[in-house]
Amino acid sequence: MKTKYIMFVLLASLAIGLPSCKKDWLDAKPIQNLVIPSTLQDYQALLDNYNVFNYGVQPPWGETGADNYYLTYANWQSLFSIPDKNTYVWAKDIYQGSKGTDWQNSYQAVLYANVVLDGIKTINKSSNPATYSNIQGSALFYRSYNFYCLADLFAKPYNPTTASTDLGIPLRVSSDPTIKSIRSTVQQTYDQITNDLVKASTMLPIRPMFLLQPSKPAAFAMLARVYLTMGNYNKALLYADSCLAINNNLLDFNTLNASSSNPIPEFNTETIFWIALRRTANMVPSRLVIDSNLYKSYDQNDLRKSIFFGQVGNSLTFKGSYDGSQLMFSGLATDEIYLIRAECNARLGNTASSLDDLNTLMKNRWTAGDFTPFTATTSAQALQLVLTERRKELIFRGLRWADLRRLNMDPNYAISLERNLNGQIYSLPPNDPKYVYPIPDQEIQISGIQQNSR
Amino acid sequence: MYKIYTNNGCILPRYIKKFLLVMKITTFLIFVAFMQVSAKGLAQRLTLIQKDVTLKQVFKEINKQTGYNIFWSDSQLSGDQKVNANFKDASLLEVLNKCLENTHLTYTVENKTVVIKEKPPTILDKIKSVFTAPSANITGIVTDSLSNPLIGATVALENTKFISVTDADGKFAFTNVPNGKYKLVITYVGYKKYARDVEVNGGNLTFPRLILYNESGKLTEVVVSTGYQTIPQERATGSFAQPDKDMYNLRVSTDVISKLDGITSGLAFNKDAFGNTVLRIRGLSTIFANADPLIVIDNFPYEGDINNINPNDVESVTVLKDAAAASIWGVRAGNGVIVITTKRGRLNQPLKVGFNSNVTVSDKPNLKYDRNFLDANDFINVEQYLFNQGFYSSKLTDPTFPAISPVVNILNEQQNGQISASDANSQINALRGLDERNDLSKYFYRRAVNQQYGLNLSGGTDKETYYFSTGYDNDLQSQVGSKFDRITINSLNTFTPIKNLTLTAGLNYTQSITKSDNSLSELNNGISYPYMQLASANGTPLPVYNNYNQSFVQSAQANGFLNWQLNPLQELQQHLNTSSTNEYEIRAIAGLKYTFFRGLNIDVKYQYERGINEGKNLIDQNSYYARNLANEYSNVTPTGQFSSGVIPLGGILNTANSDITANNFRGQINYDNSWGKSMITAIGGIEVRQVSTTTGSNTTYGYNLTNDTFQQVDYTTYYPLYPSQNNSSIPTNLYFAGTLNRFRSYFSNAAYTFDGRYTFSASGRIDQSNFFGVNANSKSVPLWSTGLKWDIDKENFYHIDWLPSLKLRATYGFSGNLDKNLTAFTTALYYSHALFTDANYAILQNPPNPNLQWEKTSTANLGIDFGAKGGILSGSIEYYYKNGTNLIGDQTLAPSVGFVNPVTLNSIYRGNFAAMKGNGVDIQLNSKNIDKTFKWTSSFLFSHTTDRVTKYSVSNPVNNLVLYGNGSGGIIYAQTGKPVYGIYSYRWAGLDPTNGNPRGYANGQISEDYPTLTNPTQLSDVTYNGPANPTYFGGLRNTFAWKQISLSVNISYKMGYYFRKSSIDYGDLFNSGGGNIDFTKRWQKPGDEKFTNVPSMIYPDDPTRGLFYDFSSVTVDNGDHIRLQDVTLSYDLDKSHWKRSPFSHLQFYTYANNLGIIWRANKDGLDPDYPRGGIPNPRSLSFGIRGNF
Repeated sequence: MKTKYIMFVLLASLAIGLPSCKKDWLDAKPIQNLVIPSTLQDYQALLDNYNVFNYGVQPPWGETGADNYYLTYANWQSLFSIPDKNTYVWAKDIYQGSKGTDWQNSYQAVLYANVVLDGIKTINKSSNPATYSNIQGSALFYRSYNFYCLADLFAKPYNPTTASTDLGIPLRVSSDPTIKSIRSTVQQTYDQITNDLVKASTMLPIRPMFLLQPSKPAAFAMLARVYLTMGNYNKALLYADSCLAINNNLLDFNTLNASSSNPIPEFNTETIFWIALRRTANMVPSRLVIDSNLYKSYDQNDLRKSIFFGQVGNSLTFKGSYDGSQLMFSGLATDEIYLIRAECNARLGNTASSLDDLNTLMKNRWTAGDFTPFTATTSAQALQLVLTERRKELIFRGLRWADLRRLNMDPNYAISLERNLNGQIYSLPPNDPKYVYPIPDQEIQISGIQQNSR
Repeated sequence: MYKIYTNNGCILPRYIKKFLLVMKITTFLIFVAFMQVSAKGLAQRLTLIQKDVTLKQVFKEINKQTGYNIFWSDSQLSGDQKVNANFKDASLLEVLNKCLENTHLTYTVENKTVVIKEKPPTILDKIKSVFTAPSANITGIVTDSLSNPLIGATVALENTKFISVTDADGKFAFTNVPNGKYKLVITYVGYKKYARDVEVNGGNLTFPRLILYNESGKLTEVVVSTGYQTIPQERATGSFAQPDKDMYNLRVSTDVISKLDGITSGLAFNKDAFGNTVLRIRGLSTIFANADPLIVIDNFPYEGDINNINPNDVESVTVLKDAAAASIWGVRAGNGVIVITTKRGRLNQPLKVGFNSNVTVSDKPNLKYDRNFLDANDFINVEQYLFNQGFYSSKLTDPTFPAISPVVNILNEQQNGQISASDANSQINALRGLDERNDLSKYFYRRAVNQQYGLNLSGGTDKETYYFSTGYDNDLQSQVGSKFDRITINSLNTFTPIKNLTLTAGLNYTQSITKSDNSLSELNNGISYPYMQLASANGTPLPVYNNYNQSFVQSAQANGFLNWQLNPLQELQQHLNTSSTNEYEIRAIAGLKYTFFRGLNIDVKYQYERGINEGKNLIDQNSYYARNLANEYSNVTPTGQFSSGVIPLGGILNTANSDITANNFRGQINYDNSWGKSMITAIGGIEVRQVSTTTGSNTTYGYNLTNDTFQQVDYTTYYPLYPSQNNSSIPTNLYFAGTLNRFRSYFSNAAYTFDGRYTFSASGRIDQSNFFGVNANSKSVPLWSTGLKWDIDKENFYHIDWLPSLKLRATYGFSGNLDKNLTAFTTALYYSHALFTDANYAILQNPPNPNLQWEKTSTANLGIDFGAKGGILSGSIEYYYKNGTNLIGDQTLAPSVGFVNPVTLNSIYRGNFAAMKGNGVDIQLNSKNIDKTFKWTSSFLFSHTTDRVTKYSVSNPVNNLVLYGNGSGGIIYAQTGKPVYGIYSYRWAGLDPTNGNPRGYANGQISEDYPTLTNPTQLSDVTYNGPANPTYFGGLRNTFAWKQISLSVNISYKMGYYFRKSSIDYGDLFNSGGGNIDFTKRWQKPGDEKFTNVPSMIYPDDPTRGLFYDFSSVTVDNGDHIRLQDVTLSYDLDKSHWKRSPFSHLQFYTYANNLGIIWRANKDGLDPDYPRGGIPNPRSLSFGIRGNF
């Protein structure tokens, strides 16, 4: 009986005791690479997600709706994506029931930034102030960049007189999913963007580790781009200047191999911040066709003519992405900033300074020795020159739509766009409501926010 | 009462032997042997040296040697009292004293007569008997005729309180049975009643082997195993299914699971949208969580590859279907449980050797089954048409040199004036008669030959059992270069070192090698054309040009590149691109069971499982893959010459390793008791379990197999590829990952039976796990079940003579499930090797969800078990109803919240938002149609299962239901009111009679507006055809037996579902050469629309037009079909037929499998298991021999 008793105690304690000994046994992490973001390293890793912030993510509808290219009827008909197809002809309903992912994807980047900005508040900055500032500044930069892209497509162009009543985009500045989205005004939208970028510019390092990451010159360059879009030439000039003070490198096109199928190298010396447009079937080289008048506007000695354009079959196509690939670079580069500074100086009456920047840039675009500097006697002439070269330099950089929207407000520069598909003509007059894309149906249904009228 | 046997004269020793034999046989009869032998010539001294002789034998020997007559009564010699006789020239009295020492017997000798009688009680005995009535213990083991212990047999001494049930070893025991005469009665469902008289006379009685013989035609499978306990089906309230054991044994397969197909009630083998076989027990119970049944092998969940289990080692398979059966497994039981028990030795069984060996030969796969093929003649006509339309002009001038088919090449040369029109025509016509599939079949496929050998040894004494087996499988699969080899070694032993303690130790080891050849994989890239030639008429391997233009490839070497030709047959013959997987698995089992007193024991079990999987893909430097990669990643001069390479010359080695370790520990208390009319069985315990996995993979360049050397490459730089000009880094599959799952569970299960008529069962379980971030209090979930069983046939009022067996069962309870990917907090997954920067980066995985819970499914089950008189018909009918609540489902968020699900890319998030319901019926019928010398029995299985989503907060775009409703997108799109997987299609309005355009309905009107037609907004805009998985399935098996020959024919069927067949897609045909037989039925002229639904060919192709047709209702077919699954023929021999056979049983068998479809609803001759391509399993024929001695 004694043996039995001992046996019972022994076995019972083995059976019951052993498994329940450790209290935190069930707290072990089930998947090794799964984390609850909580450290600076985690937040940096979120910001290093190139699929969210850089690689083929910028909404391309500005470019698909702009006048850099056209499609043959057969090629247009063979497009699979309904929004890509409809943005080409500025249809009233671009979705026709389909989803349209650009809105959602841009807000995904905003959420990542918000997760970082919310999470980093719980970390003591003094432990690693440089990394901390960089992460915080980067998150602010990315959020502003995406707000800008969204505003360019889904809100009216910035008009100082109506901006405080025009509908802007929902400004999500918290990662809490339960907060309901509401539309801000255009003024609030741009204020948020510019304020955050200014903040970011104080936090970001002068040189980024990689060009995929934001930096101080990138924040300045972005401020210059945003203020130009807003028509605030003083500030645009200021920030373009600040940017070029840090980085004024230019790429001499004479050093490039024009016969290559993608002559401009990736991460070239002009690149300040790298991001690329989402790939669309509209703008693959074998499909897009370059307008022959645009092509003819390039001088024979202008190297861009042979570096930007090439022949596919019988038609002219684009091969000049700032990425050395077919991916369309839409980030920030010094050539754009030179042109912003030149435009602002021209608009502010500084003809000489304007021409100076224009010629500095153009000298690097012309065959060596064949460049004759541009001249102008009035600032208006200088502005005309700058805008012409801007049109030719920043082709397929995701900037044309914003330029059309802001320049159309000035009758001197307003133009009407036209598409011809199998004889059917579609047109987009200046300042048309179709310059503002509709918000996806799902957003309207769930958030109940106001749709754009077209 | 004494019978007297008198022997006069001399006795022949032979006669005595015979006499002894008779004695032995009649040992249970009560009689007295009286021997009278004349004394002459016989001395009174005797010699007897023998171990373990019975007293009876001793007495007979005394009689023989001394001539003394001996009187005794068999009742005095109850049991088999044995002595060790060691007498040399001993006196009679010495021998008698010695032999009767320690017995209750004594003797008297008078006149050459010895009378054996009982000892008079001593004073002490007399005092003892004042306090206790004389009593003894009766113990025994009940087995079937094959020495298998019968668990749960009812053992009783008739008309007494002594009733017991045999335990897991078939043992029973009655203690302190008062002296007297009793009738020992043993009953067990499916077996003939056993009865014998026993008399207790102070001495303990032991029956080492009480054999019950089964009643043929009745249920023979009567024990069910839950993995925690083994219970007789007689007292099980839940729904258990077991495959027919004979059928399981007769089927020939390398693995265990496929042997269950069509012979297990409620277990469906469905095909998912990708053609993979998925197991479902009673349909689906979850939307997003794992839907596979839990597989349990020898008491613990099995984590390894099921192919590692040798089917010859399997003793039994039990499928747990309802909550009462399965809820003991808690949160892992939501999809049902398959419990596999392996063989083991039996107590008191002499060494038994069993063997099984078979060979299976399968037909070559029928490559021509695939409808996605257009013959060369039609294909060339299309190419000529497209060429004339200028379709290829941009391709021909494309600077990236895309592949051009031979016909287009000829046409181009003709257009460029390089060859004449008549030359071009004759060259093209020569290609019209070719068929790529002939070459593929001839050189890349063969008849598969599978060999299987198994050997096992088992046995046991009353203190230990042993089982040892080894198996070898060698499969040469149908694709040349693919083979599978497996060795299994298995042992399981039990010991009883001290009384009441049983130790178990087992070890399983499996090692397998899978080899495959990848020579055909490169053909999947690039273009295809039906007249592709892989070898010349005399068998010389020919290059194909499916990735790049032929002239570009041919000039590559001249331009300094490596040979850029793809030659699949050469790759095969020279083994240039092969894969192999080595798997090792070890399972070690240790167990300890201690019985404290009759009915109560503690059982502690531990299992360690370790599986290692080493995958290797060895790519020779001469393979196309290696050469192509080296060429693509090379620096090229502006004029297209090779200037320098980036990837080092040499082979490429891809490795992928995974490692799984599982530790299981279980402590369990078992209690069994019966008193009066009550019987109780209860278990309770705790279980802990940890499963950890690690996986890793790598790529090595410049690999030299013979020296094991390699070279470093730069994985971070992006290189422009030639000729595509895309930027890319050098491909690598460098990857590491690991998981760790921990579970702690508390479980209990009890069943109470009253009067053998009413059984009540209840079980409960609490599961805890380390799933990420779930709050401590929602980490555990209590799941319970309860059940009732009523044996109506045992009621006094039950008088249905033709239906002597009728039982009712009802159960209700909960089981659970979980989605391991969900957590309560914002989580991120880390990834390595970001583009360009090579940094680590993270993906937001989950929005916070603090309310996350386990999925819960309640199941109600009602069952009737019945058996008609004489076993003519027996079976069961069950109805069940499932209600899944708290199921993981999606909820839509505003897109501006920014949560993009990493899998669906939708702005949705997952939580316990969904619910579904399901119900169904399982019917199992066995009949004995003819039962004479010729026997004919039938067994019929019928299952009906439905599932319906009842709550789903996301309304998926209707178009996604059409495109991916059957799961073909790898994403589940659920729709309230419909099954989880359904077939939806665009409404069809016939072909346009004027141009053959497909037409549908837009806003109720016949329309050809394809963008609108392919973007339906309302569910009513599309047709819901029906479920994508069978809702009715089962099998019918007829067995005919005549003497030793038995023939079994198995038919299976699947009904009540739909599938989408493949049809012509002109875009695919034009761009990549994807053909389809439907092309030949296309609309070509007005009037054709009366005969066909295949749209006309248009150029240029309109992808939305093609999309509309491919997903319209005319490409949906009814999946109903009946299949002649297999036929077995066997010939059995045992000792009764072949007396001198060294084998106790020998069986020769042949097995024909995958015999074909007998009837199908679809008109296209499609096998609904392979609707969109793929090659159906070819017919196979096996021969085998199995036996034991």
